[in-house]
Amino acid sequence: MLKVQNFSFKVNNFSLKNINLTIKEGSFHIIVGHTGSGKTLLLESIIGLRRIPAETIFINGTDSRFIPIEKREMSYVPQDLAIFPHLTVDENIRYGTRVKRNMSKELGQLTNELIDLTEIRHLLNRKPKHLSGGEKQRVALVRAIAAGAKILFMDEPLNGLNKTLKAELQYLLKSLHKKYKLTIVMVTHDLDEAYTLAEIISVMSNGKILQTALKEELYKQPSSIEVAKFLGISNIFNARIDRITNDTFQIYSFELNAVLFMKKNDREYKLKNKITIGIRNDEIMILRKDLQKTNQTNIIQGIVEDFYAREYYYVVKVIPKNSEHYLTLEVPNYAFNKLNISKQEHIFLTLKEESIFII
Amino acid sequence: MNLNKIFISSAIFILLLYVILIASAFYFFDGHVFIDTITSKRTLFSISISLGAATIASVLSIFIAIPAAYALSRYKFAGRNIIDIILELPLIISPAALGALLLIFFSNPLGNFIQKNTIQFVYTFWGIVLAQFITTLGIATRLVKAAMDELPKRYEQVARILGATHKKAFFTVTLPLSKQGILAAFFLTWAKAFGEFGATVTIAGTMAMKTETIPISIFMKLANADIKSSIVLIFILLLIGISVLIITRLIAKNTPYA
Repeated sequence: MLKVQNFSFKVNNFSLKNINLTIKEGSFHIIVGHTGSGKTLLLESIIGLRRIPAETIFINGTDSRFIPIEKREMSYVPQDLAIFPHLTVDENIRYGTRVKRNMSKELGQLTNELIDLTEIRHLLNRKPKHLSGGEKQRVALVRAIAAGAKILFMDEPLNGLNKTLKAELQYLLKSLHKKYKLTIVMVTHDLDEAYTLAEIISVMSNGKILQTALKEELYKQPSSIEVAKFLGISNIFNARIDRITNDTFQIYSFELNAVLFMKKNDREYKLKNKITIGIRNDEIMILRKDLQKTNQTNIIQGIVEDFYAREYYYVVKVIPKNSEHYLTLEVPNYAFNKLNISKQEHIFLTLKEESIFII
Repeated sequence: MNLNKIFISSAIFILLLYVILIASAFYFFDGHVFIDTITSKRTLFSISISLGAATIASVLSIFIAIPAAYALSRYKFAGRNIIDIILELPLIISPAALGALLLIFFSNPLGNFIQKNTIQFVYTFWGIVLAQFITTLGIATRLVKAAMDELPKRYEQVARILGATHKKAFFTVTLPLSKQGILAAFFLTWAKAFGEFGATVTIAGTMAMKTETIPISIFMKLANADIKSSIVLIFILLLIGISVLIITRLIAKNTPYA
């Protein structure tokens, strides 16, 4: 329904480079990237807020440049929400149907349903300046959906909310998407948010889309070192394929000085091929002392160099035996406390064959 | 004296300067003359044509300033920078020169044709309106543009995406949200028009009971050494001017999107 094709666009010193993107009907598509990666510019170009080159963005097969903004059947929740301050909540919500003179029974019913679902009925007669942050987000969301658009675009709509409210609104967004089969395109810099909400994720950096994939696929198989790093994977090493069996590769990692086994993927590799591997931080486990056996596969012996606490987990830095490189682990708080690890301690690590991937 | 005191003293100096000037007028204040002047037919006529001309001129100015300011605020087009400079022309060119330019214009064939076939401007009430319009159009546009510059474009963009045509977005979002700024601009324009003298006197002359606005009346009374009567008119001008400035402040304070 919406296609971005070889789209390059320059604004001042920044440019979007050869963007290709397809938004599928009914999908929850999140474009994730650091601040300044070009997410908002891309969104504004798709919506029609920028003068873009011809034949680059297509809506239902038509060059978007020939479709006026108001006829694109899109809705938009900008970062600043832009709730009209001179209108009441009710007038804001019904703005889309009023200006389009579309007072159909279905849209009226949808608006009423949305008001109840988002629990804003008691706010209808208030002016926006009397709303809290969370209430404003709900109003902006309802206004966008109630306009009867086919695609809803959102630009970091949950920014600046506290955690509880954010989680609440994320749940609400998910249920609205499911209930009304909405097509949602959202941009965010928050990877957790992207994983929580999206079905499809596009990773954007420096004006380019690095990878678009189902979120599970993206997690399993980042397409480049840049994507892997963006996804928070710190363990990226060079390796060599030493043995190929039916469903596994036996590899040797130079930096880790370790022989590892990993699942084969669809791509063709030959013996002695040099590869780059990634190991997901949260899938490396520390073996309990009583379970340590060196004859298991994918066991790495090492010394705890350092660790520090994050919100729900500890980051542990381990230097494998005879290596100068770190392995970075993310160990859940409860596990870390149970293991009672100390610095400079000798430990054994293990990881599943599926936790290693070739980049 | 520390720096803070120097800064504050400068601000207080401005206040004192004007207070002393106004207070000094009381030296010639005469209660009987005050009553006589304020109730005289000539003064009431001056007040009425001043109010009428200033209102018509500022309505016309704002009427043109709104679309012009919107264009200057939102679009990039050829000549935009030149227009931006021209807006300040009435501020830097002497009003008398502007009035003289009008007189010269109406002395050429095109001006003559306009006067013969439409309205007579020279030495008439419409001359006052035209002089005030010419001197306030720039400032009105500049003030409305400032209000529109301040209004985030995002509201208009969201309105468009929600389904409003450009026209609808302008009338249902941009205009209502600039209302305070436009009203403030209107009152300031009105105050400027109300006190306009140089261009008015040049094109409309000094004809009692015909083109005698309050500033012209002050000038005529001073020319006749009637200081006491001119002070009464100065007070009327001050009272109206200060009231308008207070109203403008109150309006500007309530900008909805601030």
